[in-house]
Amino acid sequence: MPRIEARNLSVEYPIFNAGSMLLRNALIAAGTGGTISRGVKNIVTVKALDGATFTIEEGDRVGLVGHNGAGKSTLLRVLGGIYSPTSGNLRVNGRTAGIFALGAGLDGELTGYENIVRMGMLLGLRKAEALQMLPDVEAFTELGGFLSMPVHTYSAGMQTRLTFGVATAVRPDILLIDEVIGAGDAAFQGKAHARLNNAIESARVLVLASHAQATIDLYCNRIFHLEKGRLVSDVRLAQEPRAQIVERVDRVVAGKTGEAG
Amino acid sequence: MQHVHPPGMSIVPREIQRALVDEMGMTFNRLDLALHLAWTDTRTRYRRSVLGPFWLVIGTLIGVGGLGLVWSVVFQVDRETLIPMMATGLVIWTLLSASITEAASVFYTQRELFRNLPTSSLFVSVVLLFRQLINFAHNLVVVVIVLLIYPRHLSLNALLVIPALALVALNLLWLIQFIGYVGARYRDLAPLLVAIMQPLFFVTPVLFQPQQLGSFRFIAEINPLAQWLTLIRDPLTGSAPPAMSWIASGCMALVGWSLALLITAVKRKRLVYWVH
Repeated sequence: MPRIEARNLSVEYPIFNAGSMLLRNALIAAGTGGTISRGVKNIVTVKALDGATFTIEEGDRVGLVGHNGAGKSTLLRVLGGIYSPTSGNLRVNGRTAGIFALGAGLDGELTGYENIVRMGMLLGLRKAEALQMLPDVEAFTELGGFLSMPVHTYSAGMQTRLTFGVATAVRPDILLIDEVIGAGDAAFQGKAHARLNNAIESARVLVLASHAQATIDLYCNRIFHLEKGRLVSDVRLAQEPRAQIVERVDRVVAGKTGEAG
Repeated sequence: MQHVHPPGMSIVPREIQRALVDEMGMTFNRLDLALHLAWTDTRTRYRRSVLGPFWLVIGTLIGVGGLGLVWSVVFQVDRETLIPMMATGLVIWTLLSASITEAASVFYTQRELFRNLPTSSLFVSVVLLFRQLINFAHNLVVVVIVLLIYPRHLSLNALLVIPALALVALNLLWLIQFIGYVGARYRDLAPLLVAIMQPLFFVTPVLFQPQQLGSFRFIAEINPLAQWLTLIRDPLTGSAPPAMSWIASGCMALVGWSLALLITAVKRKRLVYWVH
């Protein structure tokens, strides 16, 4: 039963300037009792998330909306175990997988095939399982012969297809997505929607951050509005069974791409 | 998988225990992945080159061959003793110094991983250690060749190289982990360590034996790198390493691991922000 419980969740993180990251300056400051501090003290702390309280259960498709800097990426990353809460409680039950930044986990020198295996393993699969995933991801990405070439030869769009293909093939309980659906060309958009659909079906919880209203409308049944780190509103939309959402997406996609299902 | 975060950032023994269990679990569950990453990193380094893996070895081969021949004449030492001693010394030194200097930037180099996937710092250190051990294994080819040419001092003691290597690897891992954290927080540690390694090379008995220091032996004895070098080199040059080396390395492992685990438990949550 995947489930996320947060009580008063806050995340603060430090932003270092160049001076504060030098051992030399730290030693000088220590040696002179702080009189010569040379940037050592100028560490800004940002409160990226401020006292968020919510419970996310199986079947929830949460959309995160808000301006840049509102805390959407921070929230996604704290749910994914990358950032840690600085105060408050967070309990996450279930296997998570995140699509945060395209190209994360890609090694430019390795071929497409090798990167699929690498990313699959980084997302938690054993090598045998990652290898089994190859035909499926290969078919989705439609990269053909490029898969035998090093990934640094790929365009951004091609890298997008690769990372998206792997992350959606892994089948986590909780899927966390940070505004990446927008990347990629029109033909890819259609395939990506269908693919994401499939991934959502097996992921029982989805948390998706996006600026695109259309994307939020398409996938989400609950909206978190974030502003300056605060969870300003938490609205459940009219409850739709998953199947209806799937059908709705299929119809929209069929309408867009002019082909059946 | 479940992670629970109790309120506050206070460091309590239970928190430390939980942090360590997390890190150890994430690391030892995925040793297969660590090995895979270490291998692919190694392969990409020589993928675009002509000689492939033997680039790693050729430097050592030339160094050992050239130095050995010249020095045996200059210092009037017999080659059968000098060349195996130097070859093993150089190869082991490469393992030690590369591990140390790369450790300072090991977490920064993998920052993409830290920022996008829940990543254990200990795991990243293990990948570096594996990569260095793979490198070491390649360089051992040179040592094997040398020992085939000059087998006079080879004995059954050579089997001791296995536990010796295990103990040194255990020490290297905590050292990498500790240096990794300090180097992630302070970016100038990396060039500082590179600069230190140069004179350290000459002071450590790499190209000579510690016995040759005579009354200045303490210089070698207080140097941890010298102890580890002796531990691996002695079996390959025919003698069992002195008990002192085993004991010293064992104690260093205990103290070192305590330090490394402490800094890991206290700072692991901050690490992702340091390498941003």
